[in-house]
Amino acid sequence: MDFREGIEDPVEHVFNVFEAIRRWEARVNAYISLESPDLIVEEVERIARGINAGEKVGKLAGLLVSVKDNICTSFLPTTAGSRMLDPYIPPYDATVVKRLLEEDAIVVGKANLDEFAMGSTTELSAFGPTRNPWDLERVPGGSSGGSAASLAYGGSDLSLGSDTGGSARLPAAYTATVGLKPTYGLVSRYGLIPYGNSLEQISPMARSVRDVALLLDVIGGWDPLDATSLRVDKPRTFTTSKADPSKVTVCVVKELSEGAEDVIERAYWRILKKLESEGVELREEKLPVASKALPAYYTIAFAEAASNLARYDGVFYPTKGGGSTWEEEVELARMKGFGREVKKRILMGVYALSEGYRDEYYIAATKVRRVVRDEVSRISRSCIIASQVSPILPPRLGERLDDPLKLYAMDVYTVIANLAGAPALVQPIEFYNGLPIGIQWIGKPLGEGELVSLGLLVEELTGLAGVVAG
Amino acid sequence: MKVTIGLEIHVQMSEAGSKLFCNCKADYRGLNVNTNVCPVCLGLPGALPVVSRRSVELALATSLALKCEIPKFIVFTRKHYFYPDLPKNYQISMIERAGGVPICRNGVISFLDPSRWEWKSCRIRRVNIEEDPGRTVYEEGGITGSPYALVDYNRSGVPLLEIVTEPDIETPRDARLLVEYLLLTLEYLGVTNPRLEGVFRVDANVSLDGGERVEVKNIGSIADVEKALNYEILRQSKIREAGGVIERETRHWDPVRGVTRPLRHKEYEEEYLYFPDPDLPPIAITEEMVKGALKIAVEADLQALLSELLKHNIPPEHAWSIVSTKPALDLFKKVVSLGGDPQVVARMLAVDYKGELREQGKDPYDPSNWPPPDTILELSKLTLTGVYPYDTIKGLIIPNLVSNPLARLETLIPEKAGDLDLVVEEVLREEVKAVKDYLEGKTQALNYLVGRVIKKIGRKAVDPRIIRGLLEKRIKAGAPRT
Amino acid sequence: MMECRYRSVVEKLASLAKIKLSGEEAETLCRDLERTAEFLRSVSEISKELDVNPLYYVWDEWGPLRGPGEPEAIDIADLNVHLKEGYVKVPWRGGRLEEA
Repeated sequence: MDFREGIEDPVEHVFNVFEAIRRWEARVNAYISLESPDLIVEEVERIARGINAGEKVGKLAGLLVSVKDNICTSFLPTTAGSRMLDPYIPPYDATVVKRLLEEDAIVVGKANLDEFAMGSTTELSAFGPTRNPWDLERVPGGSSGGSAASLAYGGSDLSLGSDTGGSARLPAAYTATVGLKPTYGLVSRYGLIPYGNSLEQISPMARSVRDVALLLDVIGGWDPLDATSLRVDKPRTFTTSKADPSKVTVCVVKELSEGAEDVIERAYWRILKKLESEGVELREEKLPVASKALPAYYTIAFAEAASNLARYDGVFYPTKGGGSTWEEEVELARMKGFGREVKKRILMGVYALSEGYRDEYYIAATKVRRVVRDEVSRISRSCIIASQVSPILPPRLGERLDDPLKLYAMDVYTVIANLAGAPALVQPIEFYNGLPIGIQWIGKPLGEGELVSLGLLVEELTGLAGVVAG
Repeated sequence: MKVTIGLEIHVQMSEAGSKLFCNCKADYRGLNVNTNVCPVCLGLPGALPVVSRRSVELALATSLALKCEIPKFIVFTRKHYFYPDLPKNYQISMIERAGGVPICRNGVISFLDPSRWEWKSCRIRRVNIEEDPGRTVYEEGGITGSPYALVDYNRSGVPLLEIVTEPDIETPRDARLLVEYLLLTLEYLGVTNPRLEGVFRVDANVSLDGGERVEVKNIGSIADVEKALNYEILRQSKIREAGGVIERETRHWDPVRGVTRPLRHKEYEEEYLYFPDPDLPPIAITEEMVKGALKIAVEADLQALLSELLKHNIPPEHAWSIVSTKPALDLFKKVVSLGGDPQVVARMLAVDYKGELREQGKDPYDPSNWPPPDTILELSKLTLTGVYPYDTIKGLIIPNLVSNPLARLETLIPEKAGDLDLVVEEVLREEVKAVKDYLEGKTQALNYLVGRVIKKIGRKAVDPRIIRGLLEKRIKAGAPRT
Repeated sequence: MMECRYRSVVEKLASLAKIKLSGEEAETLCRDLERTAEFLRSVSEISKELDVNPLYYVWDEWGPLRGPGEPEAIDIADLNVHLKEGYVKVPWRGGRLEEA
């Protein structure tokens, strides 16, 4: 970044980040755990020496990365925001973490999240909620709220989040940062504690499109340890140039544009019109199945959650049941270790998969999924899909928690990309009363380059790249 | 009384090299507990399964050997239940009604009853590839009362073949013969070593005269297949004779007490929440894979191997004795290809060598207990020349060979009869007193004379019985010539 | 307050999922689950009109097969387990483990 052009000194940069953490972290609570500052300084000094000596250093040399706490690190506890894994120290590193370290990135800490990535506001962590640096009474979005907040207040340069139904994109929109959910299979899931494993991807997050591209290029590409990983080369999006507007077609999908608060809708159309005036072609499209996408998504996600969380029975993990029989031990460990939303989703998932309900719920949802995937693929073949990110401005803490459907409704625009496996980029377009508003671009499979290209154009128009909460 | 038996046989692919979804070892025997484990087979959060190519190849070869319908792709599914030895609390398997696709459907096994030389057949419903759970050990009180359970995860993730037959079997004996034949076939396919402890388990379903079927679990040896079924049939007949009705249930075979017992605790959830495993996209079964598997399957066509042997007029018992002991068959093929006479070689291996292995308590399934093909070739030629009587070969050379399979044949062959005559003459001349003693009825003297002959011959191998025979003959014939 | 009518369903689900629920928790969950189930059920109607197969894996790609390799063995003592002579020890019938 900057210092590699000789503007900033890597060591000084680290101290600036520490300062931001000192100023903000107690109020924001973006991190569950922080790496020892001494170790970080030691590492960055080693890198600085290397740079000065003209040695080859990694692509991410000296950059501080926050890693969502559902991504395994062997050198810091990995809790998934849950009492169940407090503290669990994985005996291995996630593939993406290995790739970060190979490029000389420095992991500054593990970012807070909704427990097991189940939530849209980062209020459901066993380690307390994360607050939005832009307005501390409001949520930063979820479940990658810690990642987004750490970026927003300058407590990290880059972040790895995860996105099952919008968990990296919604926080990006709420914090004026950039989040990219990659094409399903582009980034290895080995080491990502699973929630909805047919839906989710580890997602690069940063304060600018260029930085997200840099991070994507490092973490992406085939991993033999993940059978769902696509057998493709590492992506090369960092060097993509800004889009030529006359060559871009944006499809405005009706169902993905309507239904948001007025303020948001106006901002949405303002940027679309601005793009049009620059030469971008706008085309109308319809996606009628979109109205069923949200319940289909949640059915599949709950079913997979129930299955993926069956393993937490207290045997290998810190929260024990204290029972005297096997059944009791398991039931008590799971009672103590899981929060309420997690329990809810597991029970719902069990229901959706049980004999007698499976056809009506799970199988039905997978059929809808096929239609969503095929329709999104069809449309995105010839254009980039424009979509809202959130129907509402960042809500206040507590506002969305009294009714489960209110929480789930926040994902209405984002789940489509997870069902379809399509890549999706979210970036800030405006502020309203100091609150960030974002826009979402959905691309064709392995079309990250085009999304980055359009994103760079939009950044130029909005001037919001790199913005940090004051 | 019509008996209907169906079998579900779980066999570990002990020769597959690695576990089904990770690189830990497929054969864990002899390792310290919990040392053959990794994040994948412990189901640690974030660890992911990737299917082993070798396991699929071996399973495919098995399917071809069982004449199954081969699918175009296979799909793995999750089966959920909570148990200490199942780390993820789900088992990865291939359940069709969950959307799974097994490696074999609608096959058939032809198996031999060697003592009657009758071929029987049984349809195969399906073959699944699945993972084994770990192993639970209970303390005092056993499975029903032990305060704690102790778990060893070395076995967790080991690849299993689940082979399910249609209920075409009619007697416990046939059931045993089928399992034996199947295991032998799997041995020839390079899938498993049937003699490893715990490498297979059989669950049997048995019903009488179209009544309800009872499932008997925990049959762990070939002999127990027949024993358990005999017991269960007897138990059921007694109930019916007394006017009772058999209800569908699952029972547990107790090999120590020789009885089946009802399973008291429902250790198995009825609701398994089946669905296809999202971490494992379907695996294509390509033409290339089928070709490769066919090459393996051809080597395991026991019926063809037996026919080959029978063509040479080898008695069926010898043929079966050889084929059922793979090192013997391997050796036989090599010796015959070098020019050995099939009938002679067959008898030598099937009867004499194998018999002697048994005598000396050596493992006939260990290839290192069998000699190289050249040795047997030479030995077989020797029997045909008549230089040595078959008794000598069987009684002396073969036992020596079994003790030292790598020994060179010359060191095992006794003195030619001619040379022996001379030495016998010499000894009889020298040991006048002993001869006299023998003629007076002191049979001990003969032993002494035998010893003198052996000493004179030196280190070369001799058959004491031949010497004894020669001495007796000479002594009876008259005084030694001077 | 009238008891949520799906209480028995919730209790069955909790037993399948092996999660112990307090009475109060069961009641709250019951209400939430009732609303959620109704919301999810809307999918089944539309799926009847769709003449398609279920989609379990998002891409129409075959999965990989793994060649031989080195095991990535770990030391089981690194996990939060109770060990006895190398075995992982869990309560079975009557034995309680000391709180970790």
